[in-house]
Amino acid sequence: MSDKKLPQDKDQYPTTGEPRETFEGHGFDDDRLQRVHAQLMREKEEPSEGFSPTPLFLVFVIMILAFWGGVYMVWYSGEFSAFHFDETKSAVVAEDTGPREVDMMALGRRVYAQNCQVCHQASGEGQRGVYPPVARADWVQDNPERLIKVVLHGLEGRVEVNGNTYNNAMQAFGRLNDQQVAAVLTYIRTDPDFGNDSYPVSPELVAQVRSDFDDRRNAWTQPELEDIHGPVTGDWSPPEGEEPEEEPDPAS
Amino acid sequence: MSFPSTLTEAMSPTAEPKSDLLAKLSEVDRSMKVLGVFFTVCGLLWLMAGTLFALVASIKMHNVDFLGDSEFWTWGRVRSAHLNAMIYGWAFNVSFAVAPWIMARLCRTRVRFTNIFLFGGIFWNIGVVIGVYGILAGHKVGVEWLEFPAYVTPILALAFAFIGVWVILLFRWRQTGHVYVSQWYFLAAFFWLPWLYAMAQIMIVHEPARGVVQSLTNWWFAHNVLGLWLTPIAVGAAYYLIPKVLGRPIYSYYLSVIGFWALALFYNWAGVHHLIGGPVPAWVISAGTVASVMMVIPVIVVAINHHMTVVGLHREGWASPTIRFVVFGAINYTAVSLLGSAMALRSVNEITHFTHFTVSHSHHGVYSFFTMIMFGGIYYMLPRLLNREWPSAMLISLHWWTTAVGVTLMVIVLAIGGFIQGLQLNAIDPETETAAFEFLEVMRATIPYMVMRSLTGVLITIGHVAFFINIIWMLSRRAADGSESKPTLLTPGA
Repeated sequence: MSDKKLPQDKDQYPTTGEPRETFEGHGFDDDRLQRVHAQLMREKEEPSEGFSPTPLFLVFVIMILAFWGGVYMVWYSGEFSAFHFDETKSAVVAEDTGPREVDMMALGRRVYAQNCQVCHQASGEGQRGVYPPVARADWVQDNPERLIKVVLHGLEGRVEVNGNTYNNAMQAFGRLNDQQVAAVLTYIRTDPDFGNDSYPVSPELVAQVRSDFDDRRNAWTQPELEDIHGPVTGDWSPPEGEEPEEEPDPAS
Repeated sequence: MSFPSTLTEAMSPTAEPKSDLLAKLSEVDRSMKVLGVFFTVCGLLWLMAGTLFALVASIKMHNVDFLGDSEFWTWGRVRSAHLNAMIYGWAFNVSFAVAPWIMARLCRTRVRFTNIFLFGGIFWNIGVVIGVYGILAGHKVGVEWLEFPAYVTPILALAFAFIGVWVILLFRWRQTGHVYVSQWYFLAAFFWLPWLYAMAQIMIVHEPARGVVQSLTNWWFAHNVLGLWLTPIAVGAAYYLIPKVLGRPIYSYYLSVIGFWALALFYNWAGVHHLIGGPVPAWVISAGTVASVMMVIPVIVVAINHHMTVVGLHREGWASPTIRFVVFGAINYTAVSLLGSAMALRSVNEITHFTHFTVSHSHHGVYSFFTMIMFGGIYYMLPRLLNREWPSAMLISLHWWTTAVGVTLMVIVLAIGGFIQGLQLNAIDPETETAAFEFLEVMRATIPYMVMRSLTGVLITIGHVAFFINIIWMLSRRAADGSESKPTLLTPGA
């Protein structure tokens, strides 16, 4: 690649063989031609490059930038993990703080919004004649095991809640895990907005009910539940010693 | 090859004699005439349309009711119409006009098969017309920089494929041994863009990638349109025009090499800095930030190369319309890129992101840098394609002062307003530990800056009208017979 090389024939003419107009070439000395090309005639040479050496300070700038880039990548790599969004997370293994505390009320609110709210409404009032209420409801303040059964396997047929009769079918929510079921029941039983003055439900209780009725496939009916737990009273309290010792703060 | 008539010929007797070179250039100019004029006029019309959209969108920022009764002119549509008309209409067309012309001159080759380019260009413009109409009609895609409705993008991609292939063919036809730095930039740009555009269209509009990858693709594309298309076109044009008009070689070949390859290496990574604070793995953003800061290398290199070429020739430069615009653009390339590298740092980005500071930055880049260099390119190219002089030096002067002052003020006003906006949005009241300002308060505080921005926009519009009149006037004149063969200079007696 030398700039000194003169153009050769094969460069000048296309290889397709078609005739090619010659450059205006030698006729360019003509006065009239030069006047037509007035702009061209006063043009300076086509650009070329000088060969001044790269300034020394530039080498230092490049080196400093490359060094900074390396340091930045090491400090803010987030361990090159696809799951670290916080660049300040240190590359050393974090201290093990044990299992995380779960805010049962927050989890319950979310599970309720995603699963229950469509029928029982955000207010928990349900819909008259169609969906029974969960707010200020005798069923909700009753034995939690009854509620766990309803949530895990569903409920169908005639149901009497707060003295009103409903006849509909509630689907089973067995796909929710123990903690989610416990959370949503805790939420509707203790959140002040629902007006149910009751106590929380533990995941262990849910797990126990789930394993006791492991082979149950169809929904419960009110008579079936009454056979096990007796009629719904609304002021049911657990046998001595089973009630949790302290009421959790509903706002927590 | 008779007796050497210039010093250059005497010193380098094997170089092309000047009259032979000029004869070749005259042939190049003649063969590029249709293309150059077509794309300049298309670009000019899009520039005027885009300016109109810009003014409407800008006025809506402080007078919400302005044109509020028409769904076509709602802010969300006009703003996108402005962006797309300016980028795909003005910037692409003017690149198609200036870059291939410079490429052909540097290749010293009479171009062939220009119909391929023209065909692509006509379809490109049809596509942009449909696309901008689609945006105004409400069919737009809700992804920034890719707002054109899905039904026009295949036309655009295909049109650009024709254009890109033709430019690469043009390079293949070159009759020179040495490849000049502008040619590297243009070849790379016409090679990169079809790839970027097709990739972004497939991964965002037609077979969308899901989740975070989609927004990564979006900003990879949007930033690369600036970095791997507009930047190489404008830098390549400056590399041709500065030494050409001033008649002095580019300062250093070595710096050109470093500048080009550093751009090619780093720019592709930089777009991720738009997603700082987003749900993107931390290392991806860190890599984007590092690459953005590494862009300082090509920017400094190009700045040294251009500055050392111009230095000492400021009087000549000031007299030439081309050099005024091109040097203004080159200076702003340095400024906007260094600012951009700073904005990619997480601590700065937390303030400037989602504020008018970003708007200031994008106008700084696309207007102060790219558009100004392209104005310079048109002022140099059109007289040579048409064999006519510019009809009015006064209009050029008006164009220069209104756009240079207008865009500089706009960038400053938006930067100050945006920075204050960012500080207010982030401010925390130490007592309550909540946001110190309500959102509406912050927004109202920006209104004076928005009014000032509209005024600078009016100034720029005046410049565009002057440019428009000058070009139409020039096109409607008869060809020169040589009686008016004086260059149009801006300072008398220079």
